[in-house]
Amino acid sequence: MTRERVAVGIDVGGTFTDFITADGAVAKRPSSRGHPGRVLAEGLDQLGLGGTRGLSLAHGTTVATNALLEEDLAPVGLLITEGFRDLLALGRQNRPGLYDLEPRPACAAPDPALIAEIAERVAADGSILKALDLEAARAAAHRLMARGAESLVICFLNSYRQPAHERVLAEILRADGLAVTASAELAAEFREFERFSTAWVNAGLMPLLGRYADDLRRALDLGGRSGRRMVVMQSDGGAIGLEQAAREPVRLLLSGPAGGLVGAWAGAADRERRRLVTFDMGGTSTDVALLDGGPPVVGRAELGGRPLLVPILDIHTVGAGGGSIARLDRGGLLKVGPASAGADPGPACYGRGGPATVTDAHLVLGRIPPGLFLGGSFALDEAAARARVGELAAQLGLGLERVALGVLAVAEATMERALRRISLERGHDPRRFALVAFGGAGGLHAASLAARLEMPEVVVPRDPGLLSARGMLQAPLRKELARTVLGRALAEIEAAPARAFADLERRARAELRGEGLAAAEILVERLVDLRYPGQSYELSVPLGAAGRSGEAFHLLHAQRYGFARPEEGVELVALRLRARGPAPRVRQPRPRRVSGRPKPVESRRLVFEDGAGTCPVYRREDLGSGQELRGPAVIVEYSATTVLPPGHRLEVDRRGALVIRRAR
Amino acid sequence: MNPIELEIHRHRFQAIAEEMGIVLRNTARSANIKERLDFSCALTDRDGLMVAQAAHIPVHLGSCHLTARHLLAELELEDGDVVMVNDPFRGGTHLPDVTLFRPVFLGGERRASFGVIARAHHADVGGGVPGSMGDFEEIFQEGLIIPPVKIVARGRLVRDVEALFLANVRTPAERRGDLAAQLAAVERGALRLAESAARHGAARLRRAGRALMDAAERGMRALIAAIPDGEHRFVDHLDGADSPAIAVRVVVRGDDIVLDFAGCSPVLRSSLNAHEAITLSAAFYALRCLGDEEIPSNSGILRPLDLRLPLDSVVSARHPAPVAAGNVETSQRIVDAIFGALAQALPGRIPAASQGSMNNVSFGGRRGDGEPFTYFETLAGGIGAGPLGPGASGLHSHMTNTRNTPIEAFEADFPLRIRSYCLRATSGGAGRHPGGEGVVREYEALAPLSASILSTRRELGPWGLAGGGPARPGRNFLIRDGRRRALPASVRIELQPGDRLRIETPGGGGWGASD
Repeated sequence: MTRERVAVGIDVGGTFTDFITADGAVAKRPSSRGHPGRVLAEGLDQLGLGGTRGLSLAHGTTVATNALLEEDLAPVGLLITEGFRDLLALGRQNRPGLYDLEPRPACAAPDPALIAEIAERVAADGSILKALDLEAARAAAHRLMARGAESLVICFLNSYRQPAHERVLAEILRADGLAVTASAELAAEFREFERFSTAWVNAGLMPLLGRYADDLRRALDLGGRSGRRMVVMQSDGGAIGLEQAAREPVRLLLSGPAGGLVGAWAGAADRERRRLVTFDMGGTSTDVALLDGGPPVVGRAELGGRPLLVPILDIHTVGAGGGSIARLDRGGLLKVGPASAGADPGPACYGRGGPATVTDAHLVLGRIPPGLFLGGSFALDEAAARARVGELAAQLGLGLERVALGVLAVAEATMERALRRISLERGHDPRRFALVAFGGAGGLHAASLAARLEMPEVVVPRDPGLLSARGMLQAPLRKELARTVLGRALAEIEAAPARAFADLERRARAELRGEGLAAAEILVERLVDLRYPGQSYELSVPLGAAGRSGEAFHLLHAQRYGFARPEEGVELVALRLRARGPAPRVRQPRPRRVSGRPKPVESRRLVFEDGAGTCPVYRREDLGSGQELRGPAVIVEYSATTVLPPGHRLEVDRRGALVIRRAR
Repeated sequence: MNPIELEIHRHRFQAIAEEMGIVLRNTARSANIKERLDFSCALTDRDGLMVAQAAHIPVHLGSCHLTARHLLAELELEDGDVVMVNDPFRGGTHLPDVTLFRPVFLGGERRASFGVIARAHHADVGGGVPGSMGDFEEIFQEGLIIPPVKIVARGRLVRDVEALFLANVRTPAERRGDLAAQLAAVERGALRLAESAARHGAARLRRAGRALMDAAERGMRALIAAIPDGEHRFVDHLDGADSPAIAVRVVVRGDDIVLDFAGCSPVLRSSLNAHEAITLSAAFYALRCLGDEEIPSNSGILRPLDLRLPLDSVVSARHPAPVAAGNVETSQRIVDAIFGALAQALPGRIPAASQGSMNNVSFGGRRGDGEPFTYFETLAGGIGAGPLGPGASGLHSHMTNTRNTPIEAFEADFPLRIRSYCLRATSGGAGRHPGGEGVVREYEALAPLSASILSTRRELGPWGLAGGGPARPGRNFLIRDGRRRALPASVRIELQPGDRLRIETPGGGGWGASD
């Protein structure tokens, strides 16, 4: 079976669940935490696919993310090397707030009643110093289950080098019918706290994701005679089967945003445009990522104060969104965010007594037409927005519009910092990248931010609200595995790559075959993580012929840090294998071609840094491919607004995306 | 400059300092810098005052502006120069902290428009013990003293200076790699400042720097004005003969604050001496803690402060007093004393004492392959409980925030094994809110090697507050042939294979009377 049968992409968000078929049919249902399967079944009904057999469904879910961020993990029994029971509580011993009078650790410690020390020890070179007493360890595990653990995690020191102890214990406990995560099985990489923490989070999510998978199977009649299959988006932008997702749920933590990135790449990249920076601005936060030839994957990240050693798309999040609150601090500086007005009371303009926010500043400046918000279904209270922003203006002794512009400028300073972090700080010149805006508020700031970073163009893809669901459809099946191999010579790997990667490749292929891929469909990419001898932070480069991997590393090091030292040689840290299936083809809907000038739906007063005037407002659905506009103007659609500032022009491209460039 | 534009500049300056830190971390060679992050980056104005810092290590940061002012007074600086210094009495902290300072000339200005600083703790700078963290009578025994000298002159590395430095340290290859990382960091800072100047103009950036200090001063003055006027005293003690006293008198009048250290013990014949830069760092830290994240961290915070230091005391030592531990131990006690006094001014706001030590452990010797190694680390302990809740366990407190080295990285690199690393039960002080627990770390030598410990709070446990009990003091042990022997707070010992060193760090004091 191949993945050409994939029919429906599903993005399960916090509020709504979006559905889209490969042919472009769409549906939308309110999300439900308690009954995720029912919502999916309703969506299929709405699409007229309720009884269809042989469906292939692909979905992204925030169920794992929410459980971690809300500390709602199942009780985990921790089996850890003797002498190290508190290792997860100790973490890296640093405090997140440098100047807190009463500092707290970055994340909560495991329940001490659910920790058992296991007599065993592996040395740094992989030799066994103290053999594992398997029966005693097994008994300890069962005692933890009796005390209320729902899932077990095995965390043994130096298991990245020698996993035998973890492996035999995991096997026997699985044979006993228990849910088990072994640290090196999930991430065979060194640094015990990071590896153990990743495994512990996985164990805490397993019961939850197991129930979630069962619910989906029942509600959607997956597998068996129905011929319906379900894949889930992982944090690295590739899909895996539901079974494996339930076994390794820590791979799903960025499932939702990953769909957005895959969708943005599919919706904005083309033969000429291969470098993108994505800019997804919502109500409370903004996600940015840099895509140089494709979505970027890194091997480590942090979420909810916990480090994660699984492949994850390199998405940087900052606390600035439409609902970010503007206020003055004690020193008299204007602050915007990270506190947010949320959905309730929401910004002042929601008319529920909320504070002045970024959205209110836009309203004051005319950039959000109050009658057209959410297709006109939600009236905004412009007077309330002006009143709250006006209070700030009085405190500052500046004019209302001046302060509204200032609120946007300060919010944009935070966003600019995020964009710089992922581009300039990593050696990428933003002037060579297009800014892809989505999310409800992305288009409000994109042109202004692009100008700050001298980025040549802004792309607002079609249906920015459905980008993520479409991304689910477009994700290939994918499996990334890494293994730390400190001390091995790079030349040896370059000389015999197939042998060095044989284990990783066998495992990745077996898992992808299990998802229904044919052997010939699987593409394998071999990478090596390299560093200069003595460094601790590695860079991943493709494995090349003799000497080539090292050359690629020197180049990348110079690009990122400003210097290279080829004379010192390179040190091999880890082998990294990326295996994936073919990218499913999805028909892009063709927008109609229109000639002539579009008609504005209304005119209103817009205020910019360099002046104010009466400007046209267009509906996005009135714009056809090939049409051009000159700023200043505003383009509204159901769930998003795009500002075209003065001195900019806009063109609708053949895919229906809005492309904004500075006018010459 | 209006508050909106100022906030935007604050973001830029801080982002530059943070980016310098990322470059330094990712390219450094020694575990102490790359894993433990024992370094700090900051921006200064043309007069050497600190404009912005990344949230790195407090003991490094509070004195950044003294550093730059010393260098600017001593040297004629040109575009492309980088100055290196570690002399504690001419802009440094203690000898292992090697500081690089690069003046940044913007927009054709003839005087440096700004400066960028990358300060990093090197795992060895020579001297009497591997790791350069021993207890001595003169600074000359503590390691190589580097006065302000140019390591880069007009863009070219000064090989003579580098060679002199590398010839005086036990692990030259690692030092050279760390120095390269620091150079990359200051270059990155200079590059980003130049880009900002191209957009905003050098003069405007300088104005923004000054205005941000004014904003920090206003923020601090508002906080101090909220403290009731009054005068409060507190005395705390270091370990050792006659328990050297750290005495402080805090006077609050309106929006000004005086910290008067009259009554401190005279300068010691041990490395526990602090000097002006360290005491100032501790004062900066304590004041900064009273504020919130919103007050910009720059030299403006110090303007409401009148710091009064007696001559030649344990908090104001002068050349040639030894100071290695003043930075890491005495700085903690100075913070304890300041908070002890402030607790009387602000009851219900200040927490009990945290562990009050950094528990400095260093090792040196040869690896299996014959290569020399030096290694330095500090250990977390208990946090003092406060009105908001119990103290956290196993965290670094006050003047440091370095990470631990992963056991798997440590064991792969050095001929040592960690036998145990866990919380030290019942070490926190009792109270309505109990203090946090200290930690236990036990090392086993796998080869003959030399070990040094510098620690305090081995005699008197960290104090409780508001009726809460004190924490248990820390303990150091040698375990040889199965027998456990107590070690003093500061000691150097030679370890044989199989010997174990066990450090038990202090807990945090309790807060509030137990029911």
